[in-house]
Parts: sequence; C-alpha cells; structure tokens
Amino acid sequence: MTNNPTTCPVVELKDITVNYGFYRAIDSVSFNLLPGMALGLIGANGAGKTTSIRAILGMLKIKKGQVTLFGESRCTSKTFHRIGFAPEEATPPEYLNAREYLTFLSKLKKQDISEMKRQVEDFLTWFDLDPNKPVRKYSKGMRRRLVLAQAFVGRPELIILDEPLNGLDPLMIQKLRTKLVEYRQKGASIIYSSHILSELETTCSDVVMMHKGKVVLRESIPNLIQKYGSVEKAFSSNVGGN
Amino acid sequence: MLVLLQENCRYVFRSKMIYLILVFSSLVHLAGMKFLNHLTLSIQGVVSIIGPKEAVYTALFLQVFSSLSIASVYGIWMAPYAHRGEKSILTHVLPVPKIQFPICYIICCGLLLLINFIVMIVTFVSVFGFSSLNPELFPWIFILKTFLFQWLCLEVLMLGLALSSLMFGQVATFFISGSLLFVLQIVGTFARFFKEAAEESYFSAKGILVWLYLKLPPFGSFVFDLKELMSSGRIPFENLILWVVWLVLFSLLFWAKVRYPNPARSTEA
Repeated sequence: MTNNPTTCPVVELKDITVNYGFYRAIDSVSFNLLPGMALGLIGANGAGKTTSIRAILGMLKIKKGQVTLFGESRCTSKTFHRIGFAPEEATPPEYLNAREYLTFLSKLKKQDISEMKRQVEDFLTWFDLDPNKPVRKYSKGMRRRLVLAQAFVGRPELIILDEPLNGLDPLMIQKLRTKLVEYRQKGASIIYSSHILSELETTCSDVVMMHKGKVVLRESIPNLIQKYGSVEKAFSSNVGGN
Repeated sequence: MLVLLQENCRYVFRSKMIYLILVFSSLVHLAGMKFLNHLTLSIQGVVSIIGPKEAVYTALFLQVFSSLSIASVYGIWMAPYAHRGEKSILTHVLPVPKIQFPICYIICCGLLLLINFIVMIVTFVSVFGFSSLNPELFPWIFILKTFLFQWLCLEVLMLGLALSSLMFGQVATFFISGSLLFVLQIVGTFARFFKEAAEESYFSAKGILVWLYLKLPPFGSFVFDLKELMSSGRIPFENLILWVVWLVLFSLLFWAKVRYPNPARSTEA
C-alpha cells in the first residue's frame, strides 16, 4: 500500500502507555501530526510531555500502544536522518567547538560538502555562536543555543523541540520564532513542547493539552481562540481547576 | 561509520589522558630496554649477554602491561563518554545504527593498541638499532600473532569495562572489576580442586561450577597463552574461540544498553 504523502501523518501515537517502574507516566495517549503542521504540547510539570516526545523518538520502552514515524513503526537510524531534536536538557560533546559539532552532524546527515559548510556558517551566525570556542567554555545560554542549532542541521522534515525557550534571551526567542515559521512554510512539521502558552499561539497550528499523563484536549489554535479567547484561558479551563 | 570513528579518534587525541599513557608507555619501554641492553647474566657459571633476541620478549610483556592500561582507561572513561548523562540523548538521535557504536570503539581502541605496539618497536629500535629488526633476530610472525591475540583479549576487557561503566558508573566499575578479579581467583582455585569431580559428572554442583568457570573469558590463562605464542607461535584455539564469543556477546550487550539512553544517570567524570 502506498501512503499518500499529503495525508499520511508524520507522527502518530496510538494509545501509548509508558510506566517508570510502578509510576504511570503517560496513559493511553493518542495524537498525530500531519505534514506542515506545528503541534504545541502543553501541560503542567509532570504532565507527560517529555515522556511523549521520548516515546516518539524510541528512547524508552512502551508498555502499550504504537508509535508510527513517517509510516514506520520503529524509530531507526534512517528515520533520524529526517528528524531534528532539541532536548530540554542536553550537553553537546565538550571537547568540540560549535563549528566542529555542527559539521560532524552535517556529515552524519550526509549533506553535500559545499551545502554543509554554508549551512554550518549560517547556523553559527543565526544562533550567535562562537565557532572556535570549545563547548566546555560555553555559558549555559550558549549551550542551549547550540543544542537548538543542531536540531536544524540537515533541514529535517520533523523538528521536535522540548522546552526550547528555557535559558534563551528575548532576542533569541524572537529569532527562533522566525526560524520556526520559515521552516513551517517550507513544509517541515514541528512538535513544540512549552510552558510559555502565548508563544504557542504564534508558532503552532494545533495544540495538545496534557494533564497527569493523559491528553485532555486536542484543538487547532484558531478554534481554541474562538472557544476560549486564548491558549492560556483554555489551559486554565481544562487543567487549571484540577 | 567513518565519521563516527573519526569523531571518536578526535575525542581520544584531544583527551590528555592518552598522551600521559603513551609517554608512560615510552618511558617504561625505554627504561626496560636500556636496562636489558648488554646486561650480562651468570647462571651456574655460564655467562650470557642479553641481546635483542632475548629483549624482544621482555619488550612484548612491557607492551602488554601498558596496553592493559590503555584498554582499561578507554573502556572506563572514553567508550561510554557519549552515552552517559545528558549527552546520551543527543547521541541517541544521531542517524547511525546503534550497533556501529561498539564496532567503532573496538576499532578505535585497536588503533590505540597499535600505536602502543609501534611505540614498543620504536623504543626497541632506538636501543638495539635497525639491524635488530632482521627477521632472524626479530620473530615478526610470532610477535604479530601475539599482538593480534592480545588485541582480541584487551578488546573484550575494554568492552566489559565500558558496559560496566555504563550500567554502574565509572567509580563503581573500579570496585566491581577489582572484586571480580578477587572472586575469580577464588573460584579458579576451587575449580582446579573440583576438576576431577567435575570430570565424573558435569551435573553435580561442582561440575556446574567448573563448567561455568571454563566458559568465562580466560583471563587466568592470558599471560600463559601469550608466552606460548611468543615462544612457539602456537595459537591457543580453545581460548581464542572463547575470546571471540565474549567479544561478540559484549558488543551485543553494549548495543542493547545504548538503545535506551539513561539521561538520569549523572556524569561522574
């Protein structure tokens, strides 16, 4: 069976349950992401946003349910060629500098050499990274920017950002917003987990609201604003009271 | 694979620890060779001068000692580096099959051991001169066989330590490997006593103990096998097979371990 690329979801979670020991982190979570869509994952701390992202990326054992990525049931090395991921907390190798790290990733994503060099220099400028300073000498904010920059290497079809605004200055937040809008216009799909609800209104097309490991709401942003007035109000109505 | 290997080599060579080991190795070899050069031995009135032919075996044993340090340092610190703590998530999403990681570490550690082997040859030549490399004096075939066998054994050790470091942490690995060595010595002694009983019946408790002990990586006979290889070039096939099996087993276990990253485990060093 051939999947129609316009309708086949980029990511699909069907009835996913994940346990950490005896603790149920997410319970029967289902949602999907269509091509070109930017999905905002919102919820309080411990709602299951990061666990859902890790389940998508095959980082943990799923107790029940199925994750499909680009039509495949397993996240393989081939799938990772099409994905860019910026975790909430991560440290790139400290012995490298930003240019070396981004070049290493470009090489792994098998980019053309001239395109690779141009793209790496673009990212270094865009994310305001010191190209020759080793990562171990980077400040927390610079490390964060490097982690974000690496998610865009190789122009991935799917970008997953887990709390990308943590540790970013207002100027960089604005720049990231522009970059994400630009990527969406080029057809990339985005999963964006954040606590800053107002940010999702400008960046995302849809929202999945999670609470205590379950999906409590799935809506497009225009519909949500029409019903509740803002994402923040929708969050208060669905989660805030609990 | 090549990109991954290139990156791992860059990490190894940027780490100062490896330079320290190589300097230490050169000094040990140089001191050992200088000491042996023109040393005269008098045994029961027979005086003999130690020349390159005799010194090469000492050089090989010194090389095994420094290679053991390299494999241990590489296994405990370097191989698990990208898979520990917060780095593990970024490593997990790299577009490479996970089985390439252990293969890459085996090759990289092999390159380090080769460098150490070259250090041995260079120091040997610097003391005894180029003429000592004459095939009549220098048993090339035996030495290469010894190097390959030692390489296989040390790769198993490296992967075992890397696996333990990933599972229990780097500091704990020191204690675990030390304790394991101690326990294995005791088990080995008992196994020798129980061998006769085991030959009568492998289904008894003693029999099972001996059988299990014999299936472990044969570290106990490592030095004896090397000695045998150096002097006669005879390959210990039974142990060789065991080493290969353990190398494959450890590679698969390492692969299984890095399939699910554990960012919660803190980076110790």
